[in-house]
Amino acid sequence: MEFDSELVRGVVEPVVLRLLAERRMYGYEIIKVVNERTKGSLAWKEGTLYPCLHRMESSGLIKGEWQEAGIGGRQRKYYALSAKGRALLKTKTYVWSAFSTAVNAILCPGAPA
Amino acid sequence: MNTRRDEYIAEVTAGLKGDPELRRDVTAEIASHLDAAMEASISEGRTEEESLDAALKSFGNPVTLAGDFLDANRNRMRFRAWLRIMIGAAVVPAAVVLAVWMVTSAVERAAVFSTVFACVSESGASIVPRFLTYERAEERVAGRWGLSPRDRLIVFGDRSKSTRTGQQKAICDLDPTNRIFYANYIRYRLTDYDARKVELDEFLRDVRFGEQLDPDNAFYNYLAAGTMAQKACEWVLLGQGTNRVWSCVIRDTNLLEQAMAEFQRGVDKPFHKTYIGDLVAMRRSLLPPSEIVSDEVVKIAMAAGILLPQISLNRNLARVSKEYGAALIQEGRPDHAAAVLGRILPFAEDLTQDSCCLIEVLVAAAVTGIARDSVPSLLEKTGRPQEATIVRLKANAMTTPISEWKAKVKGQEFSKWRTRASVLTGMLLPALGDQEVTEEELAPGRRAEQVLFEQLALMIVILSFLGMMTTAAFLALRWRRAKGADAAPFLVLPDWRQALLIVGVSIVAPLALYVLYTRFSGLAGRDFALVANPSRFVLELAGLGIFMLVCSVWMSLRHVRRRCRALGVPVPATLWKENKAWLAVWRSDYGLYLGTAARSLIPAYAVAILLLGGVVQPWLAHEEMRWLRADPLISQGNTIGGFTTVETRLVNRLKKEMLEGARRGEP
Repeated sequence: MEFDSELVRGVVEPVVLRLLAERRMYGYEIIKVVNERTKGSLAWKEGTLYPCLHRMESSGLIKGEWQEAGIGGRQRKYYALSAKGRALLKTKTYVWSAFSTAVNAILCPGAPA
Repeated sequence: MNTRRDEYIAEVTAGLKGDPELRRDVTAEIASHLDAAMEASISEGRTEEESLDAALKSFGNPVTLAGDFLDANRNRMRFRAWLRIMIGAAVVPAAVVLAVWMVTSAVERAAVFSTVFACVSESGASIVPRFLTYERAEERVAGRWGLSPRDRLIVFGDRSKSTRTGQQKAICDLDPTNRIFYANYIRYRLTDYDARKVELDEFLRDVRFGEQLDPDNAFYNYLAAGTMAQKACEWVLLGQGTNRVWSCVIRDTNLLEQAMAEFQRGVDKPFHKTYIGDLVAMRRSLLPPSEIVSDEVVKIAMAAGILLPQISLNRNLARVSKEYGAALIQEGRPDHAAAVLGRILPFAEDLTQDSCCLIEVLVAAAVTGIARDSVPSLLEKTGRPQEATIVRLKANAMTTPISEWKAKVKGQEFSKWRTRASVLTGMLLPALGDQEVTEEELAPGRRAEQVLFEQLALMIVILSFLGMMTTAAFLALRWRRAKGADAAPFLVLPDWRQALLIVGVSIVAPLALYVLYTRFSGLAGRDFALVANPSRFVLELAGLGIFMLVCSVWMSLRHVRRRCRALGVPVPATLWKENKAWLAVWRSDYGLYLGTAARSLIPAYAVAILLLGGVVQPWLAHEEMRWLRADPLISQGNTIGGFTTVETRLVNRLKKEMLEGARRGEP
């Protein structure tokens, strides 16, 4: 199933925040993890992710740091969650939960809340 | 293959070309992603070409992405552009201006020192610090002191006049009835007379004017008597070999008689006053409190620079009187001889009473010594044993304090204090013989001097930073021109955490440790004078300076290396190789890195200069002022008439003891 691109764009930020709350990751890794966990249903493209990462870095939600992947390995830019990002994740998670519950109450009345 | 990839990335990042570092960062990130995607694709069995196609397709349309990347980074770019402008237009120029201003101020201070103070070689043997004429400091300090034209004239004289007498005469012209100004002028006039620029009659006319102005003051009578006696008698070496002695030959008896009559008129007057102390006090009252040591040096030089030509004239007058008294006895005129000889001790008391500096006290003591050693025996020859005894007792009592003080000066106590005194205090050598000088009094002067030395070291560090900044700018420019605009060295901006770490570790922490060590630990030997252990001071400050220079450069360079490596800029493998590359800078393969490193070090140096010059130097200047004003030996109140507080204290004590001695000797 292919989701509406606007819908996908809207969840990039909370999803990235959630993943980086687990551990620091680089861009390619984030896409891989998302596609694995959603079995490709979100079908994220790099063109969606990177501008979002840069915007979040610019806003101070995440912090990028270049590091070598292993000794002598390729240089990768790892992103980690900042305190500000962690606080926003909390808010976004709560808002998303309330929002989806509200929408489910209309669209799927029989589904568990 | 890489060409297609690079062209794609260049298209995606085209919007970021205004920020070379950011563009390189995004380029490196996309390249890293594409390479990882291609590796995964190849491992699944696709060809390299197919893998690249798939990776680029997955990444998205480059034109659309260019806009997205620009939008995402716009705020960051704006902030970084502002930061670069601030660095280029404010931080670096401010650092250069501050460094140049500080160096200029330091040179100015050094010039003030060298104007009024010099270390001169005496007979090629020892180097002795000396005060020079203070008037030359006028141009350097008068403006800063904010003196009005009138005050400036009183303090420095009229420097447009070619002679020193003319300069001082101008002060007199401000108020021709002022006794202090006229007495000052007449002393300079005496130097002209001594230099045979004026005749005796002409000089005596000026002296008579002074006497009319101040009729009860014996000063003018002693001047007239002294100059006449000087002309009437000549000192010649008589005898053979080791028996050669100076003898007084009377050339003009009439003139000598006039001199003796004038001498008597002086002794009969109610008081004797040269007004030197009053002049010094008046000048000091016109000057603002000192903020820097050089201000105080100028003030001391001002007091020390006042000419005292009358003291040798007075001594000569006493010696001639003694010789003339002896001659009169030989001529069989004992009564006249007794009258001549009887003036010497009252004259000495007059001189003692008016002394405001040590040299005047010593001359008064020398005149008393003439009265003590020669006058009693001569008076006995005139048949006046009782008078002789009185003179002997009084003169002895008056000279005893001076003899005791001289013995103390040569004693152990003096050298003990010298190792704890500042150079300036140490120059007050005679005064240091005073047993009342305590460690509490010596400490502030010593601290002020140490702070002055620290400021000198700071200046050297700042100059080094300025030199390195100039070299870095030169190297950055060299590689910019060599590489062309597209691959030009760029400015690596550390984030605030890294900047704080560099500044904290390389500048703030060592300075804080130095302050703790020198001010609070009690281990730094600050209880001793700088001259007592100069190598220790030099080593401590050199160590601090070198650490700050090396550590700040090393940490900044380390950050730039890491950043350049992350951004795909070829970087030498090791620091050792890097150093080698710096040495071979003109043929290095790492031009982009070297240029970037040089360019990125410029703001690091600038921040260091601003921190040291804008925070540390004002603190040291405040410390200097604090210690200077707390120094009871050097810092002078406006009412002190002597050269320095400690000298005035000593002079007052000696005067008091001498005059008390004179009273004790009275029948």
